[in-house]
Amino acid sequence: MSFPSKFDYVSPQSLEEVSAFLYKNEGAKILAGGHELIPLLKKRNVNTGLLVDLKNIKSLKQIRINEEDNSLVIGSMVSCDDLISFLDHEYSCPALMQAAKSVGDAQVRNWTTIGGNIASGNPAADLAAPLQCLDAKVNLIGHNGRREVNMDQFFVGPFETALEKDEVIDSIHIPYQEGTILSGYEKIKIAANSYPLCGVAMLLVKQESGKIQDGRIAITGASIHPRRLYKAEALINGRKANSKRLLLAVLENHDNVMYLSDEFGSSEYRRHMTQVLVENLLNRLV
Amino acid sequence: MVTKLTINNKEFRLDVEPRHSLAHTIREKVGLTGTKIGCDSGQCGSCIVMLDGKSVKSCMVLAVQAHDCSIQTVEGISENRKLNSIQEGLHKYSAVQCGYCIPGVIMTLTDMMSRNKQPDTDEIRDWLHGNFCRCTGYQNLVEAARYAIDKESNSTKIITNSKHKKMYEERVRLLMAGDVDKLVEEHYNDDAIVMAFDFVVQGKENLKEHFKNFVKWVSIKEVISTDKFVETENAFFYEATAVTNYGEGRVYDAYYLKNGKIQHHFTGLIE
Amino acid sequence: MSSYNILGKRIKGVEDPAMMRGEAEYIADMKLPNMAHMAFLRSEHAHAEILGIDTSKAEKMPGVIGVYTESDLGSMMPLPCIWIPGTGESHFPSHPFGGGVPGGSPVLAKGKVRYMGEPILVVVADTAHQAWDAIKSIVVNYKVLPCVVDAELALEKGAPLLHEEVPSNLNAYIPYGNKEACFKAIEDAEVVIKKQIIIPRTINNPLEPRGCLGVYNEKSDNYTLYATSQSPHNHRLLLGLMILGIPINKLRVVSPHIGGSFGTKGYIYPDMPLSLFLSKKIGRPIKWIDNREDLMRSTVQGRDQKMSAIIAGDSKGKITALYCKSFANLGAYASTIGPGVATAMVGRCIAGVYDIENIFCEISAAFTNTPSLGAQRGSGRTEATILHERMIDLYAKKINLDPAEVRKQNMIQPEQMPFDNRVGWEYDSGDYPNAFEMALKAIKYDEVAARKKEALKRGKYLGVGVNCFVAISGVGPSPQMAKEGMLGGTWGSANVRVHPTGEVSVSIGATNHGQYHETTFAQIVAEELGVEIDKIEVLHSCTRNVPFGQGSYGSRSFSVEGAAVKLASEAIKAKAIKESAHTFKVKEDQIIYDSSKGKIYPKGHPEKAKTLQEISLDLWYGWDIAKVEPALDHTTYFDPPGFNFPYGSVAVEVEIDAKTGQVDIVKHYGVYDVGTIGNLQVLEGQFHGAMAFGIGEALLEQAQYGEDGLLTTPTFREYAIPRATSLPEFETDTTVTPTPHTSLGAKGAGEVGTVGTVSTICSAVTDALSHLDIDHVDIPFTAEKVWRIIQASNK
Ligand SMILES: Cc1cc2nc3c(=O)[nH]c(=O)nc-3n(C[C@H](O)[C@H](O)[C@H](O)COP(=O)(O)OP(=O)(O)OC[C@H]3O[C@@H](n4cnc5c(N)ncnc54)[C@H](O)[C@@H]3O)c2cc1C
Ligand code: FES
Ligand code: FES
Repeated sequence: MSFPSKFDYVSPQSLEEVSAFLYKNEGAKILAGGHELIPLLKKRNVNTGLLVDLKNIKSLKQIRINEEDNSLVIGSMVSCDDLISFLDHEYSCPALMQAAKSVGDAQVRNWTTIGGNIASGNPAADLAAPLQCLDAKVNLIGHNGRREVNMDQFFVGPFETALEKDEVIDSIHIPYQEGTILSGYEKIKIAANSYPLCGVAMLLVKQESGKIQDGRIAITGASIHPRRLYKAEALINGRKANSKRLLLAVLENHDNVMYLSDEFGSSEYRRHMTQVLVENLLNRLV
Repeated sequence: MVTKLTINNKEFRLDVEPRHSLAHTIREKVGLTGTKIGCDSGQCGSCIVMLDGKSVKSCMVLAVQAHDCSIQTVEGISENRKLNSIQEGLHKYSAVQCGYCIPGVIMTLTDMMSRNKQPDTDEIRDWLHGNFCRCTGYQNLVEAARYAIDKESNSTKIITNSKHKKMYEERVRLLMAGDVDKLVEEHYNDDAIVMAFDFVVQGKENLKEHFKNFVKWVSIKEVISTDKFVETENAFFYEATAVTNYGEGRVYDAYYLKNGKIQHHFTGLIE
Repeated sequence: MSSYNILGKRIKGVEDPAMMRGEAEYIADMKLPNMAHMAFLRSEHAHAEILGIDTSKAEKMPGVIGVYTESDLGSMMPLPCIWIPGTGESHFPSHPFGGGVPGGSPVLAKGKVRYMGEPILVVVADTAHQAWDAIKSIVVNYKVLPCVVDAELALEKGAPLLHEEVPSNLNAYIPYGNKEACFKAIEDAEVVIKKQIIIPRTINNPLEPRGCLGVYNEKSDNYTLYATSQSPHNHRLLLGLMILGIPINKLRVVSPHIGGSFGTKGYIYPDMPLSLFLSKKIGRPIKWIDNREDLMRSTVQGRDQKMSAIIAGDSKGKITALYCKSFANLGAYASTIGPGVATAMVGRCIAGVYDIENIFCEISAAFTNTPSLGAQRGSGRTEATILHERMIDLYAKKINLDPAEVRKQNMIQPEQMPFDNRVGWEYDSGDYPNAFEMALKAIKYDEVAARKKEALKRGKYLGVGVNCFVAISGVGPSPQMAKEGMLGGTWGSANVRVHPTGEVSVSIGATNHGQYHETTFAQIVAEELGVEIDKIEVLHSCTRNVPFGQGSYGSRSFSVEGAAVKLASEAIKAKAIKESAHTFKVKEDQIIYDSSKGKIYPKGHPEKAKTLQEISLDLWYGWDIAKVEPALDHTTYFDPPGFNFPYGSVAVEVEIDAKTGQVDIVKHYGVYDVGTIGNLQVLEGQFHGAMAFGIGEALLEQAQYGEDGLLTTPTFREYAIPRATSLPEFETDTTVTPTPHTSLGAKGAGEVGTVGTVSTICSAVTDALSHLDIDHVDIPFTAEKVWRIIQASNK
């Protein structure tokens, strides 16, 4: 057995209280599904005096479609499993669905949250890739009030996010997108732990002519943090959807991705696998 | 911190440290050691329990997080220590080698079977992705799951938290109390059909009349245990071990509903 | 096929219900009144001097009873090693017990640590949390020393030295076979192929971590150790005689339910003597339960051989010589039987199922700054099988022959049995060609070319391997084990007692840790005596319940301990017949003992039949019985005259994704001959589990050490083991060739699935890559490794 060092625990009813706890207690940590945090506490790689559990804030567990702008609002405490059920019945979004289904295992999906998935800043968060493709916005509450961060600004480094110490994710907003939309997610799993060695999400808005009006690609697991491949996207926009050779050239030469190298795979392998997944997705979607 | 946990339908008020995991608490404070710890870090699945109807790894949940929640452990999955269909499957295929992974495997399969689907082999394996087993090579675990699925088949599911179950329990209560009027009033449609053995009764008046006979005739003195509670959208079925005027036996009961009330009702003793 | 009524049948496990209900008691589930808890502080470095330890803070922490280092252990002796590798030279640290007993590892480090994870001290506290809190507060001041993690490098001049008493880190050098003849044959051969084959370190990772609970009872001056032990009697002997120095009648060792072992729990570890010693010191029971991360760096690990081999033959497929020089990595200390596992179990096995005239194998076992080496399911034999099967593939490729043809041409024929394999083993029985033909057929070997073509269209490289193996089991004939250097007996034992009421209690020398012993051993008795299974109880795993027992390891349980149970049952039967003759007043040869019905009667008079219970009652009363001792109770000690040799053939088809390098096993077939079968359902389960183990080793598993000697795969996050989603559906067959050495005829069955699997996957993967001019890739075949090979040859 291994045990965390001692800490206090609160489970407030509102986000404002959460933020106040964080503001007042140096080193306090938010607890969502705990599947990232608890192992770190047990190994004592992270020590905290106070855990602030979000479980009692009911609104965080909701998913709804905003009637004003038809955007999808996902509370930060929505579990992968609830997200999957929702996407199964009420809202179609293949990229997000496939990513959510690929997370860990059944128990991890049952209990871990979308907020925790991205807030941890884990460079291999599966949900981060589709959320970036969807141009999602992260809605935060902190000591100084509410603000919104675009998904592509959210990750700043490995295990580093735009979150301030006293900020908590309220929800994630996915704007409504007109047009014919094709999307998907593919990943190469790390054999030991199921995280993506490399994961690619793709979303293509097609014009009637068959040309790509808006192509979006995001990667996770492969680089120091999840990110969009804007240069590559620019090269496919306005092209026929089958111009995949071009895209591959783009990937190889233009996007200065810092590919990760660690015990699970070299940067070279990750780079090549990113290409393979992009190609697979293009074949699948187009 | 005082934490309230309902474990296998029993309520516990426990004084736990915030840093105590649910697994540790269930094992050390409550003394239910069927839940195992293999890695204590969310990887191996030995510690899986059902938490409010879904399987989770209890080494990755703090006991305080589960305050006010309902938990089911391997000790609570079958009534009267009778093997349920998952356990029967494991037994049939000698899939319990060292047995250390088995409680976790059983809880995963319990979750799987509660999802009202007919998983195929690949889906069963997918469900077991988070259960490490170092002994069986998984094959006989999968066989066991298939056995359980086949046994519980026909797109029905075992319900742990069913709305119909409440109705059923209320019905049993009224039946035991002999309050047939109230029972019929609250639970049966006017034009309900009740079939028990060779009786066919139609209409409320007749129903009432018959029902009296029925009660006397089957005379369920005591429901010892209800297992296999299964429901679809507009029906529910159960099997129970009950003391009837035939002595102790297995009873099969099926209810078809219309507008929330019973429309057809079949009862029989099973061999 | 067989004439048995109960043996071999798929009888449901009597063990199951308790485990399925969560009622079975494992070590972590045990609780005693007033129990204290122990935790270890382990070394963070692979090689370092301990300059100082600051425990002052820990000692004052809540609940802490004591902090104990090596200097607190009084007269406690270090852990011994009890396997001095046979014929060559060997060097060990000394052990104070004397009499040539080699030193294993210290109980707690003394001034120096030699691997990351080595225990330095223990804290005992009221709760496990408190003990752990205290451990985390302790600061150790190290002087880090240069380290070595590779066996070959450890033997080089100037390598960091681990033990002062062991020059140049060499534990043992052992030659097997005929060196001169082998070298001459290689010189004379038309075709000679050399290859280096590296078999990496692996971690067994049973799902249950180890643990123990030591209890000293002051009133009776008795000790009891509850522990995850595959061998309670042997561990009692070693603890009592060579570590704690207490009379062994004062010590009881009990194994509760064990959550898998695969070799690791057959060893003596520091926690065992410590919990007993400290229990006496503080006057409370002391419990210790390991955690996964510490398990990964302190229980014995497996494999780790660096082999250089030469195969030689003519151009038509006749193999004339096989040579292997190997460096075995023993780790920092000799574990209980580690040196033997790393040497004899490899060196004497490299002939496989082949009749090779000239063989020579030389193994150098070295100490390195890694955790101790021990057994892992299929130990030694798996490595040896990889060696000969790989070399045969390479040879076949060189002379342009189908590897299956080469195998057939060189295979030992049934009429050659018993067969001297020229490196030390005498194979007992078997029809190797038959197994091989079955595997070829199962994989549709003659249609492989077409399947390869079809797969290529899907972007997959398809490959097929069909390998053969023979896996020595049934440890064993004690005199022969003594020659191999084992300090201890390895015979089997059993007691069968038919109670006056007809139930039967059987105590066995085996220790169940997931093999269904309670069911399968009962089947032996039921078969012999005609008693219903549910009237037979099987007692095991406790030094008080069982007269003696050598425990379970090396696939010995059913084949050796089972044979003893059969002999004891036969003796019971003979006595029952004698008594029946007396009762029925006929000659013994006139008595019919119908085991299928459990009836005993005089020939021609089935209506007079008595049951065994009635005969037993007479014998227990002893009023008027035949000229025999009263009671119906028999104990047997049985040393088999030879080892047994289960064998088989495995066929694997893989598909490699050309783009990602991912290896998928699409078909995995094994035909195994383990002699007489105890329970087919149980046996298939053993096959599946062992095959899965082999797949893990071939595709995923590797304990990796950095140059600083630190384990870079310390948790399940980094160390991959097979999951339900990564394994195929196994297909298995059995044939039955009983061993002639016992009346039961069973051979070892627990490991065969692993032994054949790893090498066959190697064959299949290299076959899939053969168009790229690849002839060998070392395991594990991780996707990136395979991808790199594909990339390199595309260029
Ligand atoms: C065995 C296993 C396998 C896994 N496999 C995968 C996988 O394949 N793919 C994958 O993407 N992930 C995987 N995960 C990670 C998992 O899916 C979650 O992403 C992770 O556990 C974090 O989510 P959580 O809800 O558990 O958050 P926690 O662990 O509770 O929190 C994580 C971090 O985020 C902070 N945080 C949480 N919520 C908020 C919020 N609302 N506002 C601000 N900060 C917050 C916390 O303070 C903490 O620092 C795996 C985890 C395990 C244990
Ligand atoms: S013990 Fe909880 S997942 Fe391993
Ligand atoms: S039966 Fe031993 S781990 Fe599954």
